[in-house]
Amino acid sequence: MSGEDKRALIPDEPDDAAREMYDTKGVMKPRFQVSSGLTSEIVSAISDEKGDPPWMREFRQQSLAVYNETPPPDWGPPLDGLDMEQIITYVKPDARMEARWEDVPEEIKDTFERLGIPEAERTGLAGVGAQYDSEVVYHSVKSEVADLGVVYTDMDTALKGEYGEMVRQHFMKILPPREHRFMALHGAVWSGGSFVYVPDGVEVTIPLQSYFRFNAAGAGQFEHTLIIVGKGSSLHFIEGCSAPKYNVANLHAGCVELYVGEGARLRYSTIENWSKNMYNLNSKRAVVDKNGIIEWVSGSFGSHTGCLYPMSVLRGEGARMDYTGITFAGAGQNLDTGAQVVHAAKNTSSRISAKSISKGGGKSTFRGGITVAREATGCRVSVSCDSLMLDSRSRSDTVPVMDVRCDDVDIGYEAKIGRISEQAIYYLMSRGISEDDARAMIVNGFAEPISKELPLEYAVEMNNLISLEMKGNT
Amino acid sequence: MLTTLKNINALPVRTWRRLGVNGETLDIEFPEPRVFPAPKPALPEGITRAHESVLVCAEFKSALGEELSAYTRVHANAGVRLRALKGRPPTEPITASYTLTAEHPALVDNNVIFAEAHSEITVVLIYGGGAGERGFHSGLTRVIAENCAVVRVVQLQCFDAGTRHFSDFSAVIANGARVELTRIELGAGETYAGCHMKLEGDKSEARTDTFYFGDGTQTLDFNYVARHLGRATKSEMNAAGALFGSCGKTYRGTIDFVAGAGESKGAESENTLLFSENSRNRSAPVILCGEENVEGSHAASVGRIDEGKLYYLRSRGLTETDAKRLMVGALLESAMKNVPESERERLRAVLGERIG
Repeated sequence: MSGEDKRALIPDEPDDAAREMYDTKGVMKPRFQVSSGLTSEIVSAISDEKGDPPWMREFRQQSLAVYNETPPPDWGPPLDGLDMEQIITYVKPDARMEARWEDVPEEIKDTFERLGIPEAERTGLAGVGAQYDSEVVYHSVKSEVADLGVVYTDMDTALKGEYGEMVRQHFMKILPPREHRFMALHGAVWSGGSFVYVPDGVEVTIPLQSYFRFNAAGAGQFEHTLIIVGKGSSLHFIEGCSAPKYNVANLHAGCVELYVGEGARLRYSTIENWSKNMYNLNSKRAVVDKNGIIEWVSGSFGSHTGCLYPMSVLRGEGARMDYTGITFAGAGQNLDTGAQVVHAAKNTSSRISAKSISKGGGKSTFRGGITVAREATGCRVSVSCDSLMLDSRSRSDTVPVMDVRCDDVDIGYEAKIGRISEQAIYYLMSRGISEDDARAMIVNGFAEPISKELPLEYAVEMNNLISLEMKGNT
Repeated sequence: MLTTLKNINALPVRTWRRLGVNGETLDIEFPEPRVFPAPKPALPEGITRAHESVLVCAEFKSALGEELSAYTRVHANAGVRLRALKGRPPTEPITASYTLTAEHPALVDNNVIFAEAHSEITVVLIYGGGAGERGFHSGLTRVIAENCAVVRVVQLQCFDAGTRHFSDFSAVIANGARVELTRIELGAGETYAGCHMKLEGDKSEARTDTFYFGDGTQTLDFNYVARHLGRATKSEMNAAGALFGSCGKTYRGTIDFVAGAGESKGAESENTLLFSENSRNRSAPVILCGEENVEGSHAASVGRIDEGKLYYLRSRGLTETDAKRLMVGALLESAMKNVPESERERLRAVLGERIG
């Protein structure tokens, strides 16, 4: 059997036909890549290629040791199809990091232009980062934002430049390699990602965006995003991702660490549209200081298997978390998503609003974890979870847990599961709308609380994705 | 002999270990089996004694844990075995009462209730007394409700604070049948209670009403599952309680809609009042759904007594303790629909004393 044959085969699903925009494969040959598998030598090769400082070289090797001693999780979706021996953990494109779009190689530019990234930058973003496979190929920030002292750059530049010490102080501190097996993996082989620093008292009024494109078959992407928002500042950060579909498993195990300072506000929006051969095992965590606010807006549409539960640690008095998320699991997908919050200080509050749609044999799971520490008196929690089943081949599970260790709390939780009302479809059809369109309209309405939280162009993309997924539903 | 039991009250789907709801691992010193003195309840017309073999036609599932269930079956020293005859009208509740004493500190009761088609039966199991740290109870109640039968089981538990108390309930419910379980848990140092309702027949129904009261260093650990297999089935799980002292409570409630259970409905609610900064309250309200045409809902609220209500009650001359009694008592009342009148007053008094 050849090496490629050993990889997990991901079957094509009928819905995939309509995704050419995302599925067009890049033709660029990588400049460098490691062999598949995970060994100390491979990790050293990544360090060599990237020119890691000594502490990072050591950090990677320590993370590898943790990975080797950490068992896979005994809960969540099956990961049987993921064989690390077959995953290539580092693929460097044949391009340098550029600050001018014109300087990015044509093949890569084509890919991002098809996805509308430069257009988005021109029309409504303060800065853009674009990662192709394992490395960032383009990063720019508008001068008026840079003039305020805002730093938006790739992680390599930050690590080796004037922000190196800041990176060292924060890197994998709130999501350490011991957190779980895939964080240990991330610590060993991470590459790419963005670093954002917003100084105290700076309001960034238009969003920054990082877009992650994955082109190599059978590879992994392990970008690291580190955002520090200073006291009284505000930022909206948007993360987008996509990849062409291959019939072998790809792996995404990124790590997002967010520090929200006193009185600061950070909105982190994600439209996840990985191809349906992807194991998306991403981890995100925010720590929020006094009166700070973290807002998560999350749309999960792609991936073969997804595990994504951003955690917010509300460590400052009066800190707040708001999570709004939607998950659409179609044929062949098992998407396990949700949110976690730790109330660790007085008068903190959190709101979780999660919606999921399952169709065509897809499985969606909402998984939640609310922890209220003894010190968190006066805390308020509200969780609402709605699931929509579009057929009986699909599954939709809801697994929330609340762990409360203090009495002065106010916690409300509600969950509903059901299907599209036949009456509503009948009503729309009686107004001349086809059944397919009627269902799509109802599902779009179901998703409206999430899309209204996104900038217009992203809301349009999300609605397009829903329409794509809804095609041929009846 | 000390035995380690794993996966007691295991959540049907695992989640993050740090939240502590996946299931318990316990070291148990199983007592020497001795005959437990318990008067056999008088049987009204229409009810006969049943042999355990009536259960072979059904496949039971234990929410508490198969190992403990097997122990109780093999080492039972008490229990009722009842058969409600086909088409007979409802009878007065059949009551069995068990009291732990220093002489008889261990009760292992294996109860069998077989309700033939179109029959109706109510069984009340009363547990009390204690033997300090030697107090031990492991109970198993298995129910078959044939077509259109109605079975009500009421379990009232007021063991002393030294008692270790395990309670397992499992029912298989046929077409149009209904099973209701009421549990009032007012005592015991440790309570582990499981309930598995298998809604096998079309239009079968299940309902559970649970009230718990925790104080001191009590452990209260529950695992309820309603598994919908038949069409147009209906389940309702209600739990409510109050936590004082440094007790810990975990409530897992799962509604499981299996593919084919179209037109089914499941609803669950939990209302927990917290009175101590040292208590720990964990809830895991789970919905598993493999069927499109169903309606499932959960609602839970956790917190202190509403300040506005407390202020109102105190402005009417009630002391704080009286107000607490009133508020917690209201939760108890909501769970006592199936509790015989003769027992209600006793339970109210026990609760009042605990709060006082």
